[in-house]
Amino acid sequence: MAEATATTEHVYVPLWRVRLSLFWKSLRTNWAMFSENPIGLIGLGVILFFALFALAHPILMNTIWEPRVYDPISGYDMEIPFHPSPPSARHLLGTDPLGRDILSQLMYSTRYEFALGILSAVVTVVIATTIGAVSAYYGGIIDTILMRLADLVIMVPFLPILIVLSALTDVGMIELALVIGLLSGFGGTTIIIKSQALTIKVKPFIEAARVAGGSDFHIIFRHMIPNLLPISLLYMMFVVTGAIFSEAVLSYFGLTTIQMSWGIMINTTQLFGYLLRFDTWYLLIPASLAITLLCAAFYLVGRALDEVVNPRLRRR
Amino acid sequence: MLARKWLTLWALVLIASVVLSACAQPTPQVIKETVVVTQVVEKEGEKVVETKIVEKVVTPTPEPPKEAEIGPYRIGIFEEPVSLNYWNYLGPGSSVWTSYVLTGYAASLFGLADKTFAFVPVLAKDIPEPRKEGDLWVIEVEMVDNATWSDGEPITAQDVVFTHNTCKDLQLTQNWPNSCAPLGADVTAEAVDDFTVRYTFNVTPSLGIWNAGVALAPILPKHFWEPVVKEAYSYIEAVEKPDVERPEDCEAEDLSDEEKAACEAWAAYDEAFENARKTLYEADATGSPVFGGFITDKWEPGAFVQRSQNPNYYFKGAEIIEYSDGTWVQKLPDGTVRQYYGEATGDVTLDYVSGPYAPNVILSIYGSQDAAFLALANGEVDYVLNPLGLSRGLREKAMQGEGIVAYDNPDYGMFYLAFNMRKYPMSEYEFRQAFDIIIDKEFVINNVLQGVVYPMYSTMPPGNGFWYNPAVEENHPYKGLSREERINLAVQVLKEAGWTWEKEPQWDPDASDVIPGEGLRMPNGELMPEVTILGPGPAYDPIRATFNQWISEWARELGMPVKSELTGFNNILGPVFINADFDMYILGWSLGNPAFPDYYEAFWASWNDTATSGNYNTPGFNNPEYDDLVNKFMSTTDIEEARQLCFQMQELLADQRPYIPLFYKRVTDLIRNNIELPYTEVLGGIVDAAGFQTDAKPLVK
Amino acid sequence: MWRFLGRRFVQMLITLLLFQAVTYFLIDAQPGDIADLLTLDPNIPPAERERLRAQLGLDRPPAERFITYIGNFYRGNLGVSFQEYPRPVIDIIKERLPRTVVLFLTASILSFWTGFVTGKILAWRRGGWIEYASTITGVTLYTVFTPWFALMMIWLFAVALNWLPAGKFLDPLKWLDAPISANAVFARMIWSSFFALVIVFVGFWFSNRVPRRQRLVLRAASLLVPLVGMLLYWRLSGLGFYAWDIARHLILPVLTVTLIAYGGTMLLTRTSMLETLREDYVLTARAKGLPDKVVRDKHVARNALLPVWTGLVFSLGNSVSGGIITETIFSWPGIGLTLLNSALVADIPVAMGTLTVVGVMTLISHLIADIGYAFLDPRIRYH
Repeated sequence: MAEATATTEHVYVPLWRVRLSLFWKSLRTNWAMFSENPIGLIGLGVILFFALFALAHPILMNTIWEPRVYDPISGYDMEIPFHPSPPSARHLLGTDPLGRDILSQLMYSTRYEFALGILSAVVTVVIATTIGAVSAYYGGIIDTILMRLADLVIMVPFLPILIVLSALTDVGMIELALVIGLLSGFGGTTIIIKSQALTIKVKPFIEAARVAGGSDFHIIFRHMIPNLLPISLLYMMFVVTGAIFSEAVLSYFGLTTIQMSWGIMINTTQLFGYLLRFDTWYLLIPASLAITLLCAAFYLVGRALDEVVNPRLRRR
Repeated sequence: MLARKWLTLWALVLIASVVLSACAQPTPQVIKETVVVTQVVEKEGEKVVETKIVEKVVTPTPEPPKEAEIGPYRIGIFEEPVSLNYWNYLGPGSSVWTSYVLTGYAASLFGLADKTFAFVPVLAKDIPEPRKEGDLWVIEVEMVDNATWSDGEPITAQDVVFTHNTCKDLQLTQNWPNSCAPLGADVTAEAVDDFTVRYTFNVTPSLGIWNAGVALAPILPKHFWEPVVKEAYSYIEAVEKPDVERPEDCEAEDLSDEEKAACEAWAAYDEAFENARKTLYEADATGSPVFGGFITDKWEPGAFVQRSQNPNYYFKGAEIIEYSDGTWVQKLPDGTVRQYYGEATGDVTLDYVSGPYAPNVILSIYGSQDAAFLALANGEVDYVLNPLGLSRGLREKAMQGEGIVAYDNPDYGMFYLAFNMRKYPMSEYEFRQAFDIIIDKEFVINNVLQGVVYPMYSTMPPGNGFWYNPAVEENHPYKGLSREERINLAVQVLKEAGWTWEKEPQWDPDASDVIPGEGLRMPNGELMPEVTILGPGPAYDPIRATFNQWISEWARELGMPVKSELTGFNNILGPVFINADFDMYILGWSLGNPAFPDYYEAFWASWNDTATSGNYNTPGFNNPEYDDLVNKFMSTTDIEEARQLCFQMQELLADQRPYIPLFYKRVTDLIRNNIELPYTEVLGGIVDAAGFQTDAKPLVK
Repeated sequence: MWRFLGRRFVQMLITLLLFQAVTYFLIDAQPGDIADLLTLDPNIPPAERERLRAQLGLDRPPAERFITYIGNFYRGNLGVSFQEYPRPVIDIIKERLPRTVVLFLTASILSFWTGFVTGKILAWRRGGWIEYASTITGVTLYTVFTPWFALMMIWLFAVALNWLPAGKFLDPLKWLDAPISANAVFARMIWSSFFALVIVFVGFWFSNRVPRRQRLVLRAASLLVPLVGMLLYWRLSGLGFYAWDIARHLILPVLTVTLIAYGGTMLLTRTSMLETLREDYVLTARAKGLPDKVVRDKHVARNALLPVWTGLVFSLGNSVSGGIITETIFSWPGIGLTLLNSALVADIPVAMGTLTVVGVMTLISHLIADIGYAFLDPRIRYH
């Protein structure tokens, strides 16, 4: 540690600035590569659209939408005699069977979908990267135990376990995010990241750090993990897709206690018997389409990142 | 050369597989037979013509000029029956889906009249009077002597005694005790002769014990079940009831040797009965004779259940007439006429001839409500049995189908808010009163839920006209108040009881809204703690969830820290029904036998307190006056007296408010108009009409 | 190879045990057991509840129950259902597993084949609108909200076009006089299709080893023989009418599951092909002047098959998970629907039974994947 700082003093440039400029440089080249891929850009565009969509909700609620009518959970429009009502000037996407504005529900839910996706992705990445790096670095018995555990978790059927869990306890957004994060963190992602970590472990700079007397902790967290982050980021995207999808399915089956989400919107449609009715398309399609679009967007960005991170896939 | 070798090998494999698949085929004779079967399917029209002739004989009502043909009765259900074993159906395998498949399976001595639910004879000749013999009470029932099971065997007193004794001796579980030992009474049944049963009671045969208990008990065919029951008895013959008391806790660490011995004796005893019952419940019921109009003869798991006509149905062709004065008349095909409860004056409210008419009843199993109602709209079924309640969307969808008619009937159920009266401040009269004041049922139902349910004031659903006390709703002090009046009245009531605020809730006429109160102190001087209202979440039941949210919102306006906890049903079960540790909760009950509302004992008698007895008095309601009323109610044999007592109990409950009734549902039955039903107005919906399968005529259009 | 299999078998057994332990205690920890649910009726005295609990063995401590359960399980006794008391769990599984397996096996094979073929071609044609269009289609199918997609399929084929039945396993009215049960017909369908497939497969396999002239004849014969055989069999047995009814009900669910799985396979094949294309030996093959089609099908595709094969096998293992969604929407009485219902009412034996089936299926598919590698990749050898 001491020697590491000594070398930077000779150059008289603070370490963080070196790191920042390197980061900036790599970001620019990577962005250049990423932006060559129109599919990734489409995905990014969709994500940005939904982000704006989510941000717009509180603004609209505070300005033009009267909470009594437009509140996504307890709103009710008394001026319309019969709910659900088809799209109109007052309700651009109509109202649900309980007289609540569908557009408002859609926008309100978006922020939770993001939060859920990102939280579970972060949990996954933290766990997977740490375990992958530790497992690759130490090898031996630790590696064996962790990898057997990963094998076991891979075997766990995702949806059935979530269903069992939801019967066990109240499953809200946070619980769901944690469980999804844990299950994907200990499972497949770990194995992929570990194999990546194995290639980093044999790189000369790791050896250099070890010779310089760096502790195991230091080597893992300062040298291995930063180099694993690009691939971790890639898998974050896929976890987000999985998390949003799982939440929607679970809510659709009525197994969560979430107050409002895209899955709950579909569940409400089903509870009031509008599921197989295609004349009331506005109850089913907006939420379903939103789930599909956001899942697809994260997946597309993930694929595009894959081409950036994984040079073998590049066109040239 | 090599290629040729491969070719030969392939040819060999080919031959081998052809031979193998040939082995899997049935023998040639069977092939011919099955071909014949397919032809039968094509010639189904002929079979229908045959049943038409039968129908001509039994239908005296004027026929349309063109004779209507009667086809199969196609009914949709969503779930599989558990088993076709009737013992199991009333035991651990009870399910509403099984009941649809087994309806009419068992015989009984007495039953409930259509529409009025009056107590009428079925296989009994008359309604007997109980008489006292020493310390015991005796009821002697004479049975009709010409009734038979579907296989032609006569139904005798032996069958009655056999069923009663099996239930009693094997200590059958779940719904069975109500048939042979209702309310813990000791009832003995003996066959005096082939068609006379003599019941002996150790207590007064009150309405709950006789009319709603033993008299309605199912009767199963002895000649079919005897071998199985014998096998079951073999487990318990050798065991004696231990003559020591059952130790309270056999899991305890420090058991004396005596206690250990007692525990072992009891464990062996329990196990023997366990095995005996299991033998019975597990037995295969295929081919068992039935009493009612249809025999369940085919069950294709996951697909459908098929029932076909019972040629020996005793009441086939019987005419049932009911009059507006309450008279019930039954004319049997053999000329016997039975008439009760009046002189047959007034209008005829019901007149039909009993079936079965349909050659088959086919209950198709659809995995979900959506699929079943889609099938109704598409004409795949004529009727969907729907115990879950019909949602608006499904109703509209199905009504688009051809010839679908909707029948609306009140449901025999109650949705309510309950208080835990063991806890302060829920134990305070004024606290509960304040909730009664602020809950505007009409507002939630009419404005938010758009009338999918109906406001309820008494603990008896209005649909059960005989027992319903209309005065409770008519005299309800807070019905129809405005929001302003409600908040002011609640504040006044609480203030008078010693509740204080730092900042009192105020009605703001400019905003037409309430300025919520703050710093509410209870009469004991403490700040009011946070209380929660448990209830099902929006994904399970949006109606109860909506009520829950509105109620806690209104309570918060009063300055009460009330929180809605919307959760899964499993998470309500524990705190409410097992630990009795909750503040308030919102749930619903389906109320059972409409002829005798014994739930007044189960839900509110002090000895049924969940915390002490594990029974269903969840609020812990403990009121000597009520206990007295309920005791009289349960022990009387006079129905008019019982009715007056029930009225008083309703008034007392409306005042004491262990429950605040919120709403009841209506049952909507959607049925195609080619199904002719004898009547469609009945509490609980068409499915609660005893003859919804037997007496229906599915006309072929 | 045998040693490898033996070691894997032991590993699998341990994994399965762990899995069973975890799931058992999870289900068991639910608040309120089935005895409470079944006796929630004021007419049933609370003593009955205790009695029922004792009868179902729920009065024993969880650890003891688990050990009893596992002991019975490995002796082949999966217990009896609580909810459908006293029906043996093994009966329920026997009845429903074939329905799930057939649905997902058919769909997986179809999607694997179509996905692999199109993915292969698409990888060869990079750039241009075809690439984007196919990627978007693939991604949409891969990430579409499955319940919604299934509903849309129902709407299109069962409502708007009215070509196919919307759900269920068969049409009851056609089965009233059926000589044998639906499950028996279904079993015969499975076996006859299996034999037919074996013939086709073997025929095609051998056709690559005979001279070109005989090849066509052989291929035609191996398609025709099973086809005629099937027709004859169903015609003669008189069950064709019933088999067709079940088959008709199978089409829509199979089509839906196939389409959903197709997207993933196609994308995976494409990616995998692209990776393989960079290998030196592909360059060599091209440099030798081999035709593109030969390079693509013989050199690249075979190696690119590896990850796709993994994907297929894993998806088979997970079919029950996915089955929960599809089976619910199509009212398909398979294992997924059973799992969902039993887990919700704490019907422990049925939930455990179905979950174990899921676990065993996943384990077996992992094993098959590993064995498959050895065939597909000559560099992998197990010792």
